[in-house]
Amino acid sequence: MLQNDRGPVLEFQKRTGYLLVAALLGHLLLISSQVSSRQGPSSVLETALFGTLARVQALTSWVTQSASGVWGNYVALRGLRTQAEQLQQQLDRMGVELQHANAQARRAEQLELLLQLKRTELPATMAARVMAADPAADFRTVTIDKGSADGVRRDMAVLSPLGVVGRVIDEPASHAAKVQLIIDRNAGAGAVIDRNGAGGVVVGGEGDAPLRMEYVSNLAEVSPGDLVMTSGLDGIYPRGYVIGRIEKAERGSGQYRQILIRPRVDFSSLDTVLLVTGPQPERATPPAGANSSTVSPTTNPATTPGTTAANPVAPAASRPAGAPSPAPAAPRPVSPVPPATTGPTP
Amino acid sequence: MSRVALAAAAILAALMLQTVVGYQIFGRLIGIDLVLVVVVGTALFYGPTAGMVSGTIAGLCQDALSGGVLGVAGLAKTLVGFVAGVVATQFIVSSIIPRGVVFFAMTWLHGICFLGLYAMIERHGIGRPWRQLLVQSLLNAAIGVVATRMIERGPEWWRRRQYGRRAEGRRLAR
Repeated sequence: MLQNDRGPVLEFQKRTGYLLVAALLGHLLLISSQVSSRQGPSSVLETALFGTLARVQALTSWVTQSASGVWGNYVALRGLRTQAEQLQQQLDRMGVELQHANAQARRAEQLELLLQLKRTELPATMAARVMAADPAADFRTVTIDKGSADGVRRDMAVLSPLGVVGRVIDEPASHAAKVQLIIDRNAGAGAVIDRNGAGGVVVGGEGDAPLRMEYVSNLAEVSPGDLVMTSGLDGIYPRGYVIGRIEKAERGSGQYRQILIRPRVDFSSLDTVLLVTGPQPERATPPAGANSSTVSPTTNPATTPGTTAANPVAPAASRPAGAPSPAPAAPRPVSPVPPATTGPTP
Repeated sequence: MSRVALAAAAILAALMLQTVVGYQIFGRLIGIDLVLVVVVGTALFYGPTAGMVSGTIAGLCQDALSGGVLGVAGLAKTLVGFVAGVVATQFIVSSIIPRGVVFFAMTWLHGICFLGLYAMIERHGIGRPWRQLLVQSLLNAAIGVVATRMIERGPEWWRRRQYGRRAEGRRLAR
């Protein structure tokens, strides 16, 4: 055997070679076990690793936030008195506007009852803090500080005050969960264009406008600036939440338009998000003789402990009663759930 | 044992810098793969076996924290750790340019493995983000060279500084 002063050279190289082959084979087996199904031992390993590392992430996040908090809460607050006064004035103005909006909402409720429309209420939500991003640049996921111990489950929708953020993927750890952002290339959501009701599927993409809307017929009238909302047909995202605005809409070569969407949420600075903890409740159609005087103001239906029903995202404005029903959209590939009945029926 | 602890601490620190600190301060550190830099650095300092093992552990941790398939980054980083270690044992890579070339080439090797595996696993794959890979390899090379230089020269510089201070103190005392 070839030897040098450190010992047998070939022996060492052989051992390293065997180790390399074993490691590569192990990885290949691990990958192939997940290709057919994401369940099984690999899922357990992933959850265990994720749970352990998420605790370290939580600790690191706390340290980083404490350090930046000292700066943000003390050092950087000098000279903000004028701004605070301006904000107070703005708050007073908003208070008046809120009262006006509440009055209009009550009126709309009364009209809905009179027209015997089924209506949706605010879904129960739970706040969570974003503590980390994906270590790989090719995926768009974030880690939140709520997990299975807090009632988080796979496929829960995640929202922010500005609109749809994404959904929970994989099995959550006890105090952390992975959220796939809607701009991820594997993400998708049933969507509808608010102006004309044309339906389709919003998927993540690459480039400047990171969302595409697919399966919208070339016959549908679509123009830049149109608001795109969730349709609720995918069974994950509740109906009527803002995804973004259409930036570019071109006639496609086939049956469908090529539509690019600019999301409303700024995904580079997510801090707090809301998990939709329950299905969007629907109130039954009221009895025919419902008196308008018995109508109560909008109630918060949150019943889950530790959850709030505060809905920061304005649901889609209902179309006027006289408006035409939504144009039948192009074939909808994501329709495992029967269409929601929240829209006005002629 | 101290080598293992040092490599493990470096991997953990790189993961936390990449996912938590980078995200909270800069939004996203898309351009840099600090974990890969640590794996290549470990391979350069300690050889192919250490590079391979650190690549496996770091890659699996990265996979577990990301939204991808568990094992893909692990496999790519295992291979990179091994190849970087073999290169370090066969060639002299102690000066700046060869070391930068190693970091640059290993980032490309990692990217090609990663993208190739996803092209086989997923129907559409990740695509061909060559420009992003080029930027990442340049940044990784720059950070890798600076970091490894600091690790090599840092203790010596510190000792010299301490020695200089003590000598100056003695001179002033006289």
